[in-house]
Amino acid sequence: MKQILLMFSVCIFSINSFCQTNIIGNLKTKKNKPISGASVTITVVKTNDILNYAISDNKGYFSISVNSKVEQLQLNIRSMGFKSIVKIIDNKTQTSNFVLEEQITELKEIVIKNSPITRKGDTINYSVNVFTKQEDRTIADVLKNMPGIEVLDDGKILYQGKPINKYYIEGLDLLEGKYNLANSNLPHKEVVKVQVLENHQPIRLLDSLVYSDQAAINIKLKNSYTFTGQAEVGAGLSPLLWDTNVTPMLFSKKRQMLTSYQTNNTGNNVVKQLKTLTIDELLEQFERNDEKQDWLGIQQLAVPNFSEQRWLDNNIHLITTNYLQKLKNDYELRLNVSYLNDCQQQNGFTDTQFFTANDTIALFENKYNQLNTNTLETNLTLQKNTYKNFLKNSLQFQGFWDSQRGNIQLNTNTINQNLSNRYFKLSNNLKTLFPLGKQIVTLNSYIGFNKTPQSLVVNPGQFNDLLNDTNDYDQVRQNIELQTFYTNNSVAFTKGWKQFSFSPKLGIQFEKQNLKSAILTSENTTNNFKNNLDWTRSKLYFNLQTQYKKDKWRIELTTPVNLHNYQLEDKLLQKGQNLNCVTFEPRLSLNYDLTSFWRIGSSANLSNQFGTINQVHYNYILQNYRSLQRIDAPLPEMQNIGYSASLGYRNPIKSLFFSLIYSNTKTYNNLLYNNQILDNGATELQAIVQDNNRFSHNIMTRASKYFSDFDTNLTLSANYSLQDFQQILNSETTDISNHNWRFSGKIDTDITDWLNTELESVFQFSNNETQGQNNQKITQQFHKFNINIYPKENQYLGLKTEYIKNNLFAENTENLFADLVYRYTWKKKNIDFELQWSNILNTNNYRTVNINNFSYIETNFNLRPTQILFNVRFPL
Amino acid sequence: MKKILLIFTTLISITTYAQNNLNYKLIAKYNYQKQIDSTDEKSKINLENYSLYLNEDNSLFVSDNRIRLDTILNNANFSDLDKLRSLPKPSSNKRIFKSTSSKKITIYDEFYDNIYMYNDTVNMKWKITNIYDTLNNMKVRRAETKFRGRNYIAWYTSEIPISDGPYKFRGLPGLIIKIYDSKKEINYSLIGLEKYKKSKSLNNNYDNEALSVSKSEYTKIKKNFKQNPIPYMESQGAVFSEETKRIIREKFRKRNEKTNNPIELKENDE
Repeated sequence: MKQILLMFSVCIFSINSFCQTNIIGNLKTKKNKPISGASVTITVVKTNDILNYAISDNKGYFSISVNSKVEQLQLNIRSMGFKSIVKIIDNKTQTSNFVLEEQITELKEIVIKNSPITRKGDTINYSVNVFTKQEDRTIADVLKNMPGIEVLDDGKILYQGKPINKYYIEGLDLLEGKYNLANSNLPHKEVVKVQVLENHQPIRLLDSLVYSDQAAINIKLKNSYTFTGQAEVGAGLSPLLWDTNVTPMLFSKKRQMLTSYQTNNTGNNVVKQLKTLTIDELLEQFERNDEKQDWLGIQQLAVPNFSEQRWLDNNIHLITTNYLQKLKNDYELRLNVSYLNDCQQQNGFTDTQFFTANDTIALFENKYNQLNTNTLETNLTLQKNTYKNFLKNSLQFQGFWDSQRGNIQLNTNTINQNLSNRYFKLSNNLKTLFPLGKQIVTLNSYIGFNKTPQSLVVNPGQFNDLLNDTNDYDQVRQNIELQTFYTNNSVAFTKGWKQFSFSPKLGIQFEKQNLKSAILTSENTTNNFKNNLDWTRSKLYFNLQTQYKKDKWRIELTTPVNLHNYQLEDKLLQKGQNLNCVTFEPRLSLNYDLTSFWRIGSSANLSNQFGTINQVHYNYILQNYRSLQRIDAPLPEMQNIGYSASLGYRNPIKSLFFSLIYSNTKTYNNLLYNNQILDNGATELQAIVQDNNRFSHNIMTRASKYFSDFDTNLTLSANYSLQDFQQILNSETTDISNHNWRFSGKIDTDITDWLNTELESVFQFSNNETQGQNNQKITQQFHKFNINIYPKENQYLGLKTEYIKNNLFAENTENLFADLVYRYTWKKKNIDFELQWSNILNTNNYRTVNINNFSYIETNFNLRPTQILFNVRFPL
Repeated sequence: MKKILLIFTTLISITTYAQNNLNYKLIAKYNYQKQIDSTDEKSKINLENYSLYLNEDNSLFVSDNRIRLDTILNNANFSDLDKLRSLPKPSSNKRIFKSTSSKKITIYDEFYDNIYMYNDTVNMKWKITNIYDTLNNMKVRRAETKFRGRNYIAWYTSEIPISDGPYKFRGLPGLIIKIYDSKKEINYSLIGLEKYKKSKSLNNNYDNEALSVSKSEYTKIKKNFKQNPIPYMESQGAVFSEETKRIIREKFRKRNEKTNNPIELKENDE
C-alpha cells in the first residue's frame, strides 16, 4: 500500500515539477547577523492562500519551491522582533536576500484563565453527584473519578500525584493515618461535597511560616448524622475455623465514632493492625525503654523462622473503638480504646545438650504451652490547633493481664509452670510549638509510670541445693515487682545556612526504678533471696546535627554530648554503685558520587551504652524453671567503635546493579558472663569484672541484572560475617568465633502479562569455633517457587510452594509446603470472595536447631494442619 | 530512619543539575487534556499546565510541576526535604528541547532515579487550509498533519511569527495556539502568553547527569520499566517483600490497563 502511495506521489510530483519555481534567499539584520526562525510564506497575490512556506535556518537561509502557473507571487516575511516584509515577486526561480528592520513585535499578553474547576483560595470544591458513576458505592470510588485525585489499591489517596497529609470528615481528624477505614466504607450517598485543601499545613501555627505543598481532603456530609460500615465473614475446616471482621461507624459534625471487632483462629495475628507507628514514634519508644518487659518466663518452644500463618495456633478477639468529640475554644478530644484477648497454644519437644568442660548434659523436654493475652489500651488525646498555638497532649494507659502455663515432660518427670506476667503503664506525652524570635521551637515532654507485678510458680521445686538444702520439695515461687518513673524533656529547632543545616536539641532524661523480688518455697514460706534495689539514672544531653550538601558531596556530622549519672543501691544487701561520666558520641558519614554509575560512601562512629536494671541484681532470681540468675557486678559499660565503607554501581541502561558493603565493629565490655551449668541442666548466670573485646566483621555483596529479552530478572547475593569474642564456660575463659555464610539466588520471570513466576533459593552455612577447635558445620536451605496468575482483571490465582532442608550435624530434615489462593471480585456490588487452601500437603511438624557456645537445642514444633478457608468481604 | 534519609539524599543528588541556563523572553502556556484510556471517554482529564520557553534559537517544552520541582532541587538544602516530598508529581518528566537550527529534537526523560537523553528526528509535513477562526482574540488558521499514528488539527497564528508549538509540534509559519488529534484524545490549547522585557533564565542542562542513549535504547528501557517495574527497580538495587511486590504488580497492571493511550502510537514517521 505504502509503495503504491509513494509511486503515486512521485508521479504527481514529477508532473508538477514542470512548472516549479524555486525561491531562495537569506535574511539578515542591519548588523549583518543572520535571522533564524523567521517564517517566509508565498501566497497568491493579495490573498492569504498559502502556496508554500519555509522557516529560515540558523544562517538565515530559506528555500521555497512553488508549483503554480500564476505570473506573480506574494512573498511575506515575519519574524519576532522585526518589521514584517510583504513583496510582490515574479513567479520564477530567483534569489532574494533581505535585510530586516528591527521592531518590537507587540504581542498581546494572554492572562491565564481559571482552570475548569472553580476554586476559592486554596480550597477546591468537587460536588459529589457530578463525578458519580452508576457502579460507584463508596466515597473512595467517587474520589477515583475526580480529576487530580488518585486512590491507590492500598487505600492511599494522592492529589496531583502526592499523598494527602490529612483526611478530615467535617473538619475532624478521627483516624489520623488509618483513614482508609472510613474512606472505603463511607457510602457516597452520604457525602455532598469533597473539598481539596491545597498547601495544607496541619499545624496551623506554622501555616504562614512553613510552606506545605501537600493537600488535605475534607469530606462534607449531607446529613448531620451518618451511620455505615463494612463486614467480612470467613469460615473453614479443619478443625472449625473462623475469621470475622465487623466495622460499623458513625459520623456527625461534632462527634465521630468508628468501632471494629475482629476474631479468628486461623493464625492471622490481627494485633499488627493496631500498630501504625511512624518512624519518629519508634525511635522515641526505643529511647524510653518502657515497653512491656517479662522478667520471668516459662520454657518456650523456639518458633519456626517462616510465616506465622503456618504455625500460629491462636484464638483471638480484638475490639477497638475510636471516638472524637469537638469541645469549646477549638479543643478536640479523642479517645482510642482497644481490648485484645488471645489464647495461643504451642506443642512440641526440644532436645537440648549442654557442653560443659568435662561432660555433656542431655535434656529431652516435651512441651505443651498455653499463652493467654488480656490487654487493654486506652489513649486520650486533647488537641488544640489554632493559628496562635499548637498543643497536643496524649494520656495513655496500658494494662496487660497476661498469663502463661507450661507443661513439660522431662525425661520421666512432669514439671508445671504457672506464670503471671502482668504489666501496667500510665504515661503522658505533651508536644507544643511556639515562636521564639524568628524560630519556631518544638517542646516535648514525656512522663510515665509503670510496674510489672509478675510471678512464676514451678512444681516440683527446683535448684534443691541452693533453695532447699539439697532436699526434694514440692513447689517454688518467684515474685517480682519493678516500679519505674521516667521522664524526658527536650527543646529543639532547625536552622539552615547556605549549604548547611543545623539542628540543635537540648534535653534531660530522668529515671527512677525500684526492683523488689523474693523466692518462696513450699518448705520455707518466709521470703528468701530478696532484692530491693533502688536505681536512679539521669542524662543531660545536647545534640547538634550538622548537614552539608554540595555537588557530589554529602556530609553529615552529629556531635552529641551526654552527661550521665547512675546511682544504684540495695539497702538490704548493702550493695550499690555510683557512676558519673560525660560521653561524646560523634558520628560522621561521607558520600561521594564518582560518576553517574559509581558511588562510594563511608562512615565512622563512636558510641557508649550502659546496662539496664535487669543487668544488675545482687541476689538470685528464678527466671525460668532451669535458670537461676544473680548479677552481682558493676553496671555494664560498653563502648562501640564502628566503621563502614560501601561501593555501588548502577547502570540503568544495561539494567545492571552491583553493591559491596563492608563494616566492622569493635566493642569494649567491662564484664564477662559466666554460665554455670548444673548437673540437672539448670544454669546459673554470673557476671565477672574482666575487660574484654568483641569484634565483628561483615561483608555483603549483591548483583542483579534484568534480561529484557526474556522478561527475567536475576539477583545474586552473598554474605559473610565473622564474630570473635570471649566467654566464660564453667569458669574457664574461652575464645569463640562464629562464621556465617549466606548465598542466595532469585529468578523472577513474567512469562506473559497474566502469568508470573518467582524462584528463590537460599543456602546458609554456619560454623562455630571454640578455643581454636572447629565444631561441625550446619547447612540450611530454603527454596521457594511461586506462580501468580491473573486470568481477568477481577480474578487472581496464586500457588506458593516452599521447600526447607536442614543438615543438622549428622541428621537431615526436609519440609515441603504448598498453598493456593483464589480471589474473585464482584465489581458491581463490590464484594470480594476469597478461597484459601493452606498447607495442602499437610506438613505438620517442623524441626529446627539452635546452637550457641555451650548448648545444642533441637526443637520440634507442631504446625497448623491443612486448612481451607472461604472469605466474603462486603459493605454493611 | 538513617537508611531512609540516605536513600532520599541519594535521590536528590541525582536530580541536581549543573547550572547551564536557557534564556527566554517568552513563555507560551498550554493546558494539556488527555484521554488516558482509549476505551473510556470518561477518562478524559485535565493534566497540569505545560510551558514552552522560547528564545530566538531554542525552545524547551516542560510540565510546570516538573519546573517547580527543579527550582527547589536546584536550591535544595536539607531543610527542604519535606517540601520536596510533598510537591505534586508531574504527569510527565519529559523535557523537549528544540533548536531552530536542527531537525533533531533532544528529549530528556526521568524515571526511577535516572535521567535519559536521546535525540528524535521529526519530519512533520503540514497541510495549511484556508479555514480561519478566532482563538484568544487572535486570528488562527487551520493546518493538518499526520504524526506517528494520529491525524492532528492545529490552529496557528501568524500574528506570533514563531514556528513552534507544544510537545514535538512545530514547523508552521506561526505559533500553534491549539492542537488536537482527530479523535480529540490529545489536546493542547494555549491558555497564556507571558512576555518579559528582560530575558529570564531557566536551568536547563541535564547533560552532566543524563545518560545518553539512542532512541531505540530509550524505548526499550521505558518499556521494561512500565511493563516490569519490579525487575527494573530490583536491578537498580531495590528490595521488596513478596506482599509489596504483589501490590506494586497489581497497581502497575491496573495503571497500564488504564493509561493505554500514548501520544505516539507508532514509533516512527510515516
